[in-house]
Amino acid sequence: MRNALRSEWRKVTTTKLWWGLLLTTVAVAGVSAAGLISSYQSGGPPGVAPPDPFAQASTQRMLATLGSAGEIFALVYGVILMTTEFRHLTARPTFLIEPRRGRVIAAKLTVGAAVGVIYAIASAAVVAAVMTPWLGAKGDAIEWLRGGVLATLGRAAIAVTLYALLGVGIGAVVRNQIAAVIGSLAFLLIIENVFAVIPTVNRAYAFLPGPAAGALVGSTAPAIGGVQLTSLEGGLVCLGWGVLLAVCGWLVTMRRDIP
Amino acid sequence: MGTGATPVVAHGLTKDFGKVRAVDNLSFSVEQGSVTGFLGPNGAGKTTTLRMLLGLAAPTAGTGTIGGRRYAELSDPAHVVGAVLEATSFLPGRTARNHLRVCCAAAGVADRRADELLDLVGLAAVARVPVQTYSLGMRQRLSLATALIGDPRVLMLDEPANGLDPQGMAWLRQLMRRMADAEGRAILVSSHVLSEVEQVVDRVVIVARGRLLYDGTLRDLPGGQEGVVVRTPAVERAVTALAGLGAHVVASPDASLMITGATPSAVGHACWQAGVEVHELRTVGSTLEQRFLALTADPFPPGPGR
Repeated sequence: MRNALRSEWRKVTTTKLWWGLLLTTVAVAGVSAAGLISSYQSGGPPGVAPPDPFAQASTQRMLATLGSAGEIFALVYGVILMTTEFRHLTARPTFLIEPRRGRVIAAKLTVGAAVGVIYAIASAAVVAAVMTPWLGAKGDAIEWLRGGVLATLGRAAIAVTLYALLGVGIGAVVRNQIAAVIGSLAFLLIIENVFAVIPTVNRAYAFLPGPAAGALVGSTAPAIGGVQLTSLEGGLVCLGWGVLLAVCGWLVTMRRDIP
Repeated sequence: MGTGATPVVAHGLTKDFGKVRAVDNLSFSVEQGSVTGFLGPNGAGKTTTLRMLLGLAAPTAGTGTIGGRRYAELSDPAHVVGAVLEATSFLPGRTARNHLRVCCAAAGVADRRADELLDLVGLAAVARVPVQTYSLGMRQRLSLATALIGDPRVLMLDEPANGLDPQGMAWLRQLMRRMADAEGRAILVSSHVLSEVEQVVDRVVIVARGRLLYDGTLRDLPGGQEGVVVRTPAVERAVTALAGLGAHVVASPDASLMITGATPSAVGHACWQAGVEVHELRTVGSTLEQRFLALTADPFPPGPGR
């Protein structure tokens, strides 16, 4: 297993994609946070200082949820990490050297999650780096611990990590790289929203990966279909999707031929 | 590998893709210290057979074993079998050296093996260049290096000569011969071009449409339509003269005869005795390539109306 892990980690570090998508993930988080703060800069009657919502812990937590704003890119990385093996047929040397296919899948999931952790920590750090000096300049004290800002950043980081794991699972089930990337983006950006607007069906909405991750992080969203998950429930549902996809990916890999 | 166990054995290997039978009840073996050519036209099922032997594809029926064990049961396969399956299994943006180091890590082999192999296959100078800039011949060399990661006793090379220039081809032949003779490895090398491997193989296994057609030495390859061509201005008299030979004689419009079932000397003697003027006498259809083509020819070639 150690050999499989070392090999998988080398696969990550010998390509440019992992830091390309890291930069994207981090940039989305940082720009979202900066955008949210600056959107409150202007406005208000002339001559009167606008009200400053960032003095409140609830607004600070909302800002911290943006640590997961780039989560979809962590998912895309996970999908590509797995599907590349089939697209470029590197699955052949991979499974020739380690024919115990379960080990390869386990190593892939572990390394995918590890990359997810890096994306997650970097995103949280960038949001913290944007908000700390900016809010400090306004004279707002950030309530890291008492106001739950740090905990929210942590939950955002967990969401990013889980998304990377989801991506590896999707890639093991749907080996076609383009189909897997387009399909998962379409699901998260379009199909989930279709669920939300159909009566009755929308009761399932909260249990889909995107809304579950939202509940985990605590992004304020209206309860759709009358179901509102708590942070812990959202996290468990999201993890459940990751486990389900990982098991499906494992089954597919064990049963299907390597091209 | 167990002592005495045959390096590679295919036993009744069969593979269906939907309704198409890609490999049909194929049995053959590869012995230690020998080079076995695995020949057949494109689409004959060679790569599918190798994938089954290597545990990448599950056979519909039959078994493939390496040293008496199925591939999946090998505890350290990289040190037992090295395989190349077409020269395309690389990430384009990764360098050759990094590709080999990824494999070294997976096989539990020291990283310096990557550099040794790059030297061996002549890619040391371009080791740190992304593989996407490589020519097909360079990719073949890198594939071969990948197969040799664990210094295995058995090599399975799928079309390794594809894309190699004549020097590369000569180099590959020498390397295969050395690995079989001096190092005692068992080598199974596939090709759809007989002439690529003709000089290096000890035995050949010939397949077409998924079926075994021939398993043996090239020398014993069935002769096909070996014949003698005689060109003469006296066609009718020649036919009469040759009638006594018991051979099959066909006259063609350009004043020549095609004789099968008689040696050139017997044909020449019969003509001389009958006083038939002969302008040309030669044998045809006896080259290895022609015998190979005759053996593997598709009885239902694609054409109009199909």
